[in-house]
Amino acid sequence: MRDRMIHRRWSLALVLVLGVLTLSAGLWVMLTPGELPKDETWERIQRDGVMRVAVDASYPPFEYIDVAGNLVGYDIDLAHELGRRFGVDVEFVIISFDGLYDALRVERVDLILSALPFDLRLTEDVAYSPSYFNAGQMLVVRESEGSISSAEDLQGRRVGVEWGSMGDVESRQLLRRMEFELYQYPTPAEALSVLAGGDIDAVIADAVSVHQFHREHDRIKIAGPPVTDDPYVIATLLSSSVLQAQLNEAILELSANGFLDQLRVQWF
Amino acid sequence: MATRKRELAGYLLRVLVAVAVLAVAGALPKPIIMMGPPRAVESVNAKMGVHTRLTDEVEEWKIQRTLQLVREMGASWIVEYFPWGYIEPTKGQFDWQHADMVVDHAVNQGLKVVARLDFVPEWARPKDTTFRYLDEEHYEDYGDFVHAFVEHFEGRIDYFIIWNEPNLSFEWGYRAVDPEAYTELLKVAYRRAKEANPDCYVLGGGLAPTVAREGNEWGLSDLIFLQRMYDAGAKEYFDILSIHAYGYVYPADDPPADNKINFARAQLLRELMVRNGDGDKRIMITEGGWNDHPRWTKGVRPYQRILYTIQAYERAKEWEWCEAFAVWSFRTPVPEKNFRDYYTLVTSAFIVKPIYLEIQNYARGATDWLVEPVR
Repeated sequence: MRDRMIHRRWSLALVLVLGVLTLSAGLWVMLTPGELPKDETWERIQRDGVMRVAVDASYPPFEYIDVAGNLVGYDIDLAHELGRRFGVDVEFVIISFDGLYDALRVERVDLILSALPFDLRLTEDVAYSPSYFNAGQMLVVRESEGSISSAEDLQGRRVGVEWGSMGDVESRQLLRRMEFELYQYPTPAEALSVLAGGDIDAVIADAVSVHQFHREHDRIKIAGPPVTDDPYVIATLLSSSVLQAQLNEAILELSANGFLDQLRVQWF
Repeated sequence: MATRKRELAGYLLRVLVAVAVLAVAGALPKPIIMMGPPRAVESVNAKMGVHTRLTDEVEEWKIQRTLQLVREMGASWIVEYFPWGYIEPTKGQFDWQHADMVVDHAVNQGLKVVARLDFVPEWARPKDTTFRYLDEEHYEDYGDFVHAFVEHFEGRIDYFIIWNEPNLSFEWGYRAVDPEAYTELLKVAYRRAKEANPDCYVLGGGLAPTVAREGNEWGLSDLIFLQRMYDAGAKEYFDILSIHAYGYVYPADDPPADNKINFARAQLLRELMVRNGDGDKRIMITEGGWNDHPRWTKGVRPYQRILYTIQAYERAKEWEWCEAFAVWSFRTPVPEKNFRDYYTLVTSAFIVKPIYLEIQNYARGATDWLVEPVR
């Protein structure tokens, strides 16, 4: 019995010592004069006054060459806004999609801003910003519709999709667990036109097509959460910690102050 | 004393339970993949093929399921990539396990396998070069690998593609493309393949469609590259020409032109072969097709992709000089998260896309694919 008591006292003492040591280490770190993490990318951007942005200019309306030969699009305007906030010019480096990550790895560019989907597999190699646009599949209904607020409400309804699209794939998956009439159209715009006309009850289509149609037709609305997610993000090197922090802060602000919504209205 | 005995007994009991748990856990049966009886492809078009991407597919059931889906779709051919660097990581030491698994399942499904052979191991290239870089000093090493591969798979694989897209700088180790050097590589590979199996078919080229002119840093026109191969004496060193035929935004029946990339560009390569006295040889389209990414400027609408792909299978059937047409690509082990996902027929999660079902209907004799959806 006495042995046990001694053992417990020793254990308690050991825990206390370890606790004190941990606390001391934490205080040491906290009270040490702060040094900003070193970020050579950010230093170079600030020194040269230029931020180099990789884009594949073949994805309208995000980035493309217009008829006058200018590089334009949602991402291009977003990059310019980021440059303005950072107090630097923006240099676009046009690279095919296959080469975007390689260009970042060899530091040919400072970041990728090119309708770039988040890719979990690459998070050991690059850092991603918060998403600035979700290009996934959306459920769309007429403005007056009040009884469909998610894909779960499609039972017994008439649903339109673009034939062969990922919206078509998703609706066929839904058909495995509920019943509805599926109508296929050559393009999302045609499916949405039929929806607006009242001949079907809902459409599943990609976000860009939906926003483009909605721009000129106010008789439809997005119902509920996206059917699928396809978040677009900005990629930087893992070592570009200051640039990452600046981008993250900027994207959150641009989302909160409505700038990203303005871009969407402007380009879709 | 009695207390000590009880403590000892309790201790022993705990040890026995732990040993039993470990023994049971260690003896858990591994999943068994049954090969099943040999199957045969049923299709109205024996030239239908797909390029599978099983190189990085680890789980055997996924390999088997992929190949079952290929057969069920009605394709008789698969083109598959067998990286030299994976199979011979050390000179003379071969690891056939994964390649055997893929090939055995493919053969069991009644599929004909076309093996693409490239990917230079580290030991066969200088430091800081890419896995596409092979200098002339190591051509015989590649030849040794080709010999070993052809010999190992004799009776299971008859078709072997020597390299991939050598007319692109990226595929030539980021060097200037070199048709004459490629021809030398082809000669070595042909000789070694035939030594291993005189009845095998050596496919030369694997040419990418491009209109790049001489001096372009990224590549060289497939037409110019092939002519220079002939000029360098390649004619006697391949049995079939392998080409890639992408349609981009053009239908399958869009007429060919030197300065245009479309599916019918295959006809220009055929004409060039005839001009070089090589008209008896066939062409195999080992990659090709359309992409239906909603925003990529080189993509088409999904319904167009369906129609064009089936039309392309029909064209391949009509072209007597065409051995087969393999659509790029059937499925990838994981989503690539970019426009390339819109080339596939089946998702990584094994969800068949509408294009798969339409091709399957076509292979079963349906003809309503000829009509575009009603507007």
